[in-house]
Amino acid sequence: MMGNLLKWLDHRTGYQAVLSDALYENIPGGSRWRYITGSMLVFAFVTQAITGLILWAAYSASAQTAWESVFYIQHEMAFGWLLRGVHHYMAQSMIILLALHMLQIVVDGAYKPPREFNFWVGLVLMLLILGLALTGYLLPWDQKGFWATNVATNLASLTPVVGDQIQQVIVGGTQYGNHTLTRFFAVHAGLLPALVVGFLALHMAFFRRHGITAEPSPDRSDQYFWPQQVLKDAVGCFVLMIAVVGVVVYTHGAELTAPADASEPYAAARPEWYFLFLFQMLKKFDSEFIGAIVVPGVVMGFLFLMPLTGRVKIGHIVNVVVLLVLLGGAGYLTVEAWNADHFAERNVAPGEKDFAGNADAKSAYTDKYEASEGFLKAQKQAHADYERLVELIERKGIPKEGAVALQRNDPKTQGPKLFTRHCRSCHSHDDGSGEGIVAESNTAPNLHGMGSRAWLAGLLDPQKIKTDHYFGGTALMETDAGMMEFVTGDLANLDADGKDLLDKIIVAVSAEAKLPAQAKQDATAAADGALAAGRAAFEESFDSYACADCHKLGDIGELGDAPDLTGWGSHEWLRGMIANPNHERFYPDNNDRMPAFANNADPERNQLNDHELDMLVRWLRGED
Amino acid sequence: MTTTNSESTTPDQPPPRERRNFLAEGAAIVIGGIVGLFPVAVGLGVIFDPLLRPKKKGPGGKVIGGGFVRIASLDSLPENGQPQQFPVIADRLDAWNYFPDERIGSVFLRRVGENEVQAFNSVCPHLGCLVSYARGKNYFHCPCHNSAFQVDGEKIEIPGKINPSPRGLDSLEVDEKKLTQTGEIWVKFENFYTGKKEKVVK
Ligand code: FES
Repeated sequence: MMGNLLKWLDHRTGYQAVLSDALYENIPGGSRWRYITGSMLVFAFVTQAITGLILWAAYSASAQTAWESVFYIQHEMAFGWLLRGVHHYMAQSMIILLALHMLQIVVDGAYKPPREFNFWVGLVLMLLILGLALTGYLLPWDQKGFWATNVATNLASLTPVVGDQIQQVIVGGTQYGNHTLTRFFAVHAGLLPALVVGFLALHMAFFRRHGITAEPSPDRSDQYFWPQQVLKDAVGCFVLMIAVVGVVVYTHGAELTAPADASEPYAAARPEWYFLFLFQMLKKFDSEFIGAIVVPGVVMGFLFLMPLTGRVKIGHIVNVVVLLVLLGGAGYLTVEAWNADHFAERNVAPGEKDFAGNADAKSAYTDKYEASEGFLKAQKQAHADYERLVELIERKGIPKEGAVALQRNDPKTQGPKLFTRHCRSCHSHDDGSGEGIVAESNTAPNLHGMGSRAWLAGLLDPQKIKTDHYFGGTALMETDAGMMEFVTGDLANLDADGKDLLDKIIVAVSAEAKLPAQAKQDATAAADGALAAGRAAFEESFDSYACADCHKLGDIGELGDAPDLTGWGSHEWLRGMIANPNHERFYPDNNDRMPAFANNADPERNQLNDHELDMLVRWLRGED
Repeated sequence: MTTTNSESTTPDQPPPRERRNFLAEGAAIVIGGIVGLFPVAVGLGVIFDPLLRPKKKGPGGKVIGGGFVRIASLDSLPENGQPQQFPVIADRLDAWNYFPDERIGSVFLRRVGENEVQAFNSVCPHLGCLVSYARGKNYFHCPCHNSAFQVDGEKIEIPGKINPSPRGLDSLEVDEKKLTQTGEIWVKFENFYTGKKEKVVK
């Protein structure tokens, strides 16, 4: 019955001939492990096609949605991280397999006549796969992919004569944006896969036409493809599958960095590791034309000519040697690029190294060290930014303007940048951990923790007020009257009562700031009467002065010689101070150099706009 | 339709070739070629749209890009000539989206005289990463392939050291009249093609 059915099926379809053709291909010298790379590549490609299609069903190619949809796949969708991870790491395994496959073909002489065409088709396939890798890197629209791909498309403009036009057609305009994504996506998910399928069909057809290249050896008998070679191929694919899944689980999927932002530098921009050697080559030449066009062009030209030069024995030997050298060279450049970026991790700082007076060596070492330091710092920052963004998204969700908007409106992300741009020339914001922002010239107080009890206690410490941390660099230092005189006079050598008085005042004044980090302590102080006691102490004299003699605090004292401490360090106070320190509430007479950042009637002309001021103040106060 | 029931296993012998008919062959090639190219041909406009419609207009026919943009006031620049980086806020058009007042790039500004300001685009002329200013060492450095520029934007050339940038940082035009009259720094913000000796506006 079954036999009849199959016979009928064969008559109508001819499947048996096809099947036996496929399975009973003779392999001279029998099956071998070294032949498995081709099948593994097919397996990897099919995996990419299918996982890619499924990713496509969850991906949205636009500047406001690409990153967001990938983020959603990665963090929200069931096993999305697995799917994306497999697609990501399988792509990388394809690059390794390509190299192995090519190596095997060339070493075994399988590129020699009559198989020239198949070798050429193989090279085309290699370029297509590299193209897929390149275009895929941009699609998540994160900082990493954005900046690395930006370098790659800028290389397109090096093409003679029509370079600029080519670049515009690729990018979909002169600047990266929606059309860059739609174009890259069409190429990545449509054009290139279709071409791969076509060329792969050709590759296999040519392969069937000329058969496997193998030297039949007397001690090994021929075998059919089925079952021994099929088993080996299957094992190879299985191992690959396990390896990829293992890496995905270990890394918890592919990395995603913060969303692309053309105005936000990303000093850790590097291509994926398999393009690092090309990247490294760009650093080697004064002209990128050589590194990006000439050298790769010559190499590709050489590869294309190999089947012709391989006809003679010496040519074949040269081919094998050159290929090994090229792969070795690429490997070397990859390691070199990696080492350059991680130099600072594995070497001591230039200050701690002895150069035996060799200034050149020192400056070269310093350059290297600092470049690497910058890279590592940027990488760390990128991770921190991403973590922060995840937190924000959890709390607020992604707005329709995209996740970049969350970042641009986040005090914690923008605060340090605004501080660096506007305040760092005089102020530090440094907790002493080495991570903080250090002033160019310390001429104003360190604002880290400003408003807190600890900060205020430091200011009122006769030893500390004169340091750079507080008033050391300011005009207030030079006045021998006023605050400086009070702290270094009245507050020096306090007895127990005096100390108690001071502590009370610190609690009360610091509570004015309403710092989120101090909310609990402030509440306790309010409840147990410490605040009231502090306010009372504000009016009590030390040796010569009471605080209230110069400062106003709520309804105590009068506006006069010194800044109003009502709401000192609070959001409103800081805003006012930054907007205009010369206001009578602050330092109408003795502000030596702080500019008014937002005191213009025309808000356009302010150095800080409302929104920036708000973010800066919130960051300074540790508000979220 | 008698063949459907036939159990014969091979197709019929092909009929003998006709005598050559150049007209039919030519017509087949031409017409086949046209319909073959048709699907791509109708898409050429969209593919080359960036070249065919290079200047895109914003709402109300507003020209986007290329004009002077207010960056900062002169007060915000230190007097010692140290460069400061500022974002450039202007209208941006991204295909179907229009963004009024968006960050479209960044510039370095530095004071070089009483009423004189130098402005550079932060984009590295090598291959388009963003350069940063190394304060302690007073030069611009690009984190991508180590291009380096003096504080005045000139490319640093030290024998034996590779500096892959083909030119110095791209300086931008500053509106001098506005600067002297209002103390505001307005800069003509443009991007340039990278990797070339000359500055070519994008
Ligand atoms: S992009 Fe700046 S050095 Fe290459």
